[in-house]
Amino acid sequence: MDILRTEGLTRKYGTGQTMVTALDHVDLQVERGQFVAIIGASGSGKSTLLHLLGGVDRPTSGKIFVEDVDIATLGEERLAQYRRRKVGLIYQFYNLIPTLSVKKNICLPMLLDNKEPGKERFDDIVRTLGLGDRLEHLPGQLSGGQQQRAAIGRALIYQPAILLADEPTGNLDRKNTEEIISLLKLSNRQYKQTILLVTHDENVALEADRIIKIEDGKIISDKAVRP
Amino acid sequence: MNIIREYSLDQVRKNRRTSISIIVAVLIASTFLCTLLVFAQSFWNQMVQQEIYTSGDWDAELMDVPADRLGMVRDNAGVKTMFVKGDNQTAFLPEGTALPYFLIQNCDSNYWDAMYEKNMILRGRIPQAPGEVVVSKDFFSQNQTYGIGDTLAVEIDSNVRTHMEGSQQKDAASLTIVGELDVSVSSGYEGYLAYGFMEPDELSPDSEVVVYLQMERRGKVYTAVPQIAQAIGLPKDEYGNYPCRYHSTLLAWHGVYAPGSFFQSDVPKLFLGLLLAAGASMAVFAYIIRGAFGISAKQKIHQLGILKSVGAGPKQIGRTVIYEACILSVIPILLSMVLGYLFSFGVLSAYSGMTSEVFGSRMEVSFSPAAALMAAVFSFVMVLLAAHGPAKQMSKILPIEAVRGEQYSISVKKAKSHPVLAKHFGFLGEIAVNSVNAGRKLYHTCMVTLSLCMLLAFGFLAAFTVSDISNAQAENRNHFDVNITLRTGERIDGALLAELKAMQGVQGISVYARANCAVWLSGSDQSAEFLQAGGFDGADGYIVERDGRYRIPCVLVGMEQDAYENVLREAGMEALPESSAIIVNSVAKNPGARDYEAMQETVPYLNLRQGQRVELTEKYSDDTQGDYEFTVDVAAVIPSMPEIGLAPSFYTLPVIVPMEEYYAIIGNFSDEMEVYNYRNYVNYVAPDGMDEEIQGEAERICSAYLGSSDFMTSSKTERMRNRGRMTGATMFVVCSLAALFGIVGISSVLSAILNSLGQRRKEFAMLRSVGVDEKGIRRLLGMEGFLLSVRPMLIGLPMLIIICAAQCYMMGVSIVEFLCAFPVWVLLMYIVMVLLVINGIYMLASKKIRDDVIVEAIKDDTV
Repeated sequence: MDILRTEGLTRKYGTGQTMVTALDHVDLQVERGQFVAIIGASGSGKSTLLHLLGGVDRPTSGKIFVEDVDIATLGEERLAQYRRRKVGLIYQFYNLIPTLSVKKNICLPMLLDNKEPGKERFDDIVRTLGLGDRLEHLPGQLSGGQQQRAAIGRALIYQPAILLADEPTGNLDRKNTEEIISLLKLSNRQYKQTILLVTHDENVALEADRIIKIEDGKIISDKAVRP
Repeated sequence: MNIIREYSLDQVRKNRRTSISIIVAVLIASTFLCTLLVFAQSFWNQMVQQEIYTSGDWDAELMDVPADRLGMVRDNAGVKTMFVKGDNQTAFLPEGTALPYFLIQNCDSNYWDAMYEKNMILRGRIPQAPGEVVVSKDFFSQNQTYGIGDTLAVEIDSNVRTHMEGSQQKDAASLTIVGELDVSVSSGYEGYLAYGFMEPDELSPDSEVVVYLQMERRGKVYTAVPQIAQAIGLPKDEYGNYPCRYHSTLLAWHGVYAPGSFFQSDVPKLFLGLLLAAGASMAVFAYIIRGAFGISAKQKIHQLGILKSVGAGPKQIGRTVIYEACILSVIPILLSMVLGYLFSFGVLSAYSGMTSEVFGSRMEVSFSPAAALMAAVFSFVMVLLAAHGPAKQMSKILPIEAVRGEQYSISVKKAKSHPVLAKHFGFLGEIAVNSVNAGRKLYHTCMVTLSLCMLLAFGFLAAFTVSDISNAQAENRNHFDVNITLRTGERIDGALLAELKAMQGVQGISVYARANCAVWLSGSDQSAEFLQAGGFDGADGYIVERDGRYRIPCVLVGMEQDAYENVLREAGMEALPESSAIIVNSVAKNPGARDYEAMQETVPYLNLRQGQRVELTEKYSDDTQGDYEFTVDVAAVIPSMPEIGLAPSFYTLPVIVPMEEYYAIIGNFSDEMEVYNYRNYVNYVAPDGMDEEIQGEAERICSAYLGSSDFMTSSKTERMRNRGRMTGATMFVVCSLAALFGIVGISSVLSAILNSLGQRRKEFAMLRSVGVDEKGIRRLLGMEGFLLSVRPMLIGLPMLIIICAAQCYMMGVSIVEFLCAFPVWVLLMYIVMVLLVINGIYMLASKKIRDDVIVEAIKDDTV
C-alpha cells in the first residue's frame, strides 16, 4: 500500500532566462515501511524532491499525496502540522537550534504542539541514540556524529510515518556514517517507518530496499535492491 | 515555559549586540513619546494654572442671587464648592485722603481661596475677618501717610453703585488695611477699589450677591447650572437666559463645551494636533525600530527555518519576533518614563528660562501617572507595530530557503559599472559601490532616519528664518515704534490719556479705539473698479451674501477730536454737526497676491459719497450676541487709511468717527462687546534707539493709573528681542527632539553596519586571500562608509531645498534674503558630523573583519 505518491511533481527556480527546472514532472510511489535511497549527481534534484516531500518547499506544479492527502494544497498551518507530526526531516548539517539543550532539540516537534513525549519512548530513543549523558548539553558542545544523532532523535520523537534524510552522513566519518545508517535501519525495522534517504554514497545506498536515481530533475532508474 | 517563549528569551540573551541596539532604539523612541506627553501635560497644566491664576478656579457664575437662597445653592447635589462675592459697600474715608471713598467688594473665604484677586496682592495678606480690607495701590501712592496694618475709622454705606447719590444711612465702622492690591478703578468713581471679607451666613436676607460654583461633575455644568438657577427662582432675561455665566476657557481645557461650541474652541484642535504628532512619531519610530527587528529576525532566519522545518507554524514563527519585542521593550519603556521626565525637565526648564521674559511666567514641568501610563501604552503599541512587519515577513518564509539562508543574503542581481570610481579607486571602488547598492534594503531605515532628522531640524530652522525675515519686513513697514493697549473695560481715564499724549521726545503719536461692526449693502453699492477685480462675490469667506444683500465687515474707529478734524481738513472737508463719519473707501485689488507691493494695490470699494447716510449694525457675525443698529452721515470719503497704526483686514470698511461719538455708539452695544471695545490704542513714533526708553516711560505712566493687567506695552526693539528668544527657545526644543531621532538613527546605522559586515566576513576573507592587503581593505571600507554617509544627504538635501523654497514662496521672501539669514554653516556642520559619525562607526565595526583569520572566515558556512 502506497504511503507516498507524487504526480507530475515539478519545481522550478528563478524566472525568465535564469529559470532552472530542478524537478521535472516526477511520478513516484513509495510503499509503507520501504527504505528508499535516492541517488544522483550534485544538482540533479534529489534534495529538492526530498524537501518537497517534507513540506519545507512548495512545488511549482504537481501533486504530493501522503496517506492520500495532497500536501501541495495544504495551508501554512496544516502544512506545519504535517511537518511536525507526519514527517521527520534529517539534514546533512544537523540543523539543531544552538540555544536549546539537546533534550529540548529532540523534543522540539512535540514541544511546538505543547506536548511532552512519553517517558518510556523518550528514554528508548535516547538509549538507542546513545545520548543519555548529553541531554543537558548545548549542540555546540557535541561532536558531529552526536549532533546528527540528536537530529535523528528529533525526527523520531513524534513517531512520524515517514523519515526523510538529506545526506545525513555527508558530514561524518566512516564510523559515524555506519552508526547513523544502522540507526536508520533500526528505526525502519523497529518502528515500521518509511525512510527516504538522499545520498551520493553508493555503499550507503546499497543498505536500502530500493534505489531511485535522478538526473536533471527526472527519475532515470528505479530498482529494488531487496524484496 | 512555552518553547517559543523560551527560544525567544534565549535569542535575546545570546544576540546581545542586536538586543542592545533594539533596546536603545526602543528606549529613545519611548523617551521621545514620554517627552511629548510630558510636554503636552505641562502645556495643558500651564494653561489651566494660568487661567486659574488670572480668572479663578470656578466653573459657573450665578448673578443677583438673593442671600437667603445661598443655602439652596450650597446644598445642591451638583455643587462641589460655592463661593460668594458681593455685599458691596462704600466706606467714607476720614478727611485728608486724596479721594473720599473705599469702594469695597466683600468676598467669603472660599472666594479668596479659589479666585484670582489674591494673586494681585502686592504686599500684605488676604482679608481673613470682617473689617479687614486690601486696598488698590493708588491709595498708597496718593496717601503716603497710610500703610498696611493701619486701622481707619470710616462710615459705611451699602451698595457701591449708589454711593455718589449718597443720602443713605451710614454706619460707623473701622477698617484695617491688610494688603496692597495691584488694581485700579477709573478716577470717575472718585474712590479706591478695596476688597474685604464676609461671612455669607451673616448677610442680610434681602441683599443680592454673585455666586461662583465648582461643580461635582464638571461635564454637566451647562445643564446643571440653569436647573440650579431655576430651582432658586432666578428670573430669566429678555433673551430667555438665566443670569449665569460660564468659565468657558477653563471648562474647554477640561474638555467641557457649551452645546454647539466644540468646533469653535482651540482645545480640540490642540488635542487633535497632539494625537497627530503622537501618531506620526509612533509611525516614524515604529518604522525605524522595525529596521532593528528586521535585522534581528534576519540574523536568526536560519534557526527560524529549522523551527519551521520541524513543524513550527507561521503564527509560532511570527510570535518569536513578537515575544522578542515584548521582552526587549519592558525595561526600556519603564526606563523611558524616568528619562522622558528628566529630558522634558531639562528641555522645558531651558525653554522656560529663555522665554520667561517673553511670557512673563515660567512653565512648570508636570508629570502624572496617567501621562506615564499613556506614554507606556503608546510605546508598547509602537513596539508591536514595529515588530509586526518582520513577524509577518518571517512567518511567510519557505523553510528550506530560510535554512539555506538564501532569502535575505546580500546579493547583486546585476553589477553596474562605475567608470568614475573605477578610474580613481580601481576595482575596490566598484566593489564598494556595488556592496552599498546590494545592502540598500538593509540601510534603508538608517537613511530615512538620518534624512528625517535633518529635515526636522533644518525644516524648522528654515521656517523660523523665513518667519523672521517676514516679521522683520512687517516691522519695517510699521510706522510706529511703541504700541500701548489700554484695556480697563471702561472709558479710559482722561488724565492718563493726557499724560500719554504729553510724552516727551516722541516724533509722532496716534490714539484710537476700534470696534467691529458691519453694514448690509446691495450689489449695486460696489464700485465699478472693485466689481471688475472680483467684487463681493469674489470675497467669499469675508463677505456674507443673504437674499441678494451683502454683509460688509466694518471697523468703527474712534479718533481724538483734533486728530479727526486733521483728517477731515486733509480731505478738504469740514466736520458735520452730528454723527459725522469719515469712510476709508478702498479695498485690496489682489488680496491673494504673494508680493507685498501687489497686495497693497487698492481700488475704490463702494459707491459712497459725502452726505450719504450709512446704517451699521453691531452684529458683524452670526455669533455676535448684540444687534444694535446705528447710522452715520458720511462727512468725507478718503482713499486710504490715515497713519494711526491700524491695518484693517481685507474687505473691511473703516468708518472713522470722533472719540465721543465712538463711545456713544459702543455704549449701546451688548455688555460684553461694550466692555471689550473700551480698549484704547496709543502708538508712538520714537527717534532711533529710543523706543525702549519711551516704552518704559509709558509703562511708568500707565502703572500709576492702572493695574498691571489693564495695559500692555511693546516696542520694536522688545519685539525683535522676544522673537529672537522665542526662535532660539523653540529651536532648542526642536533640536533636542531631532537629537533623539538622530540617536535612534545612529543606533540603527550601527546595527545595520555590524549586521552587514558580519554577513560579509567571507567576502572580505576571499579578497584578502587573493592579495588585497589591509590598506586595501581599509580603503574599501572607507569608501563604503563615505558612500553610505552621503546618501542621507542626497535624500535629505533636495527635500530640504524644496521645503525652504516652498516656505520662501509662501511668505514672499526672496531666495537671496533667505540665504543671507539662514545659518548654512550649521547645516554644513551637521553634514560633516554625520559623515564623521558614520565613517567612525564603519571603521570601528570593520576591525573584526580586518583581524579575521582568512581560512577560518572562508570556512564560515552556516548551513
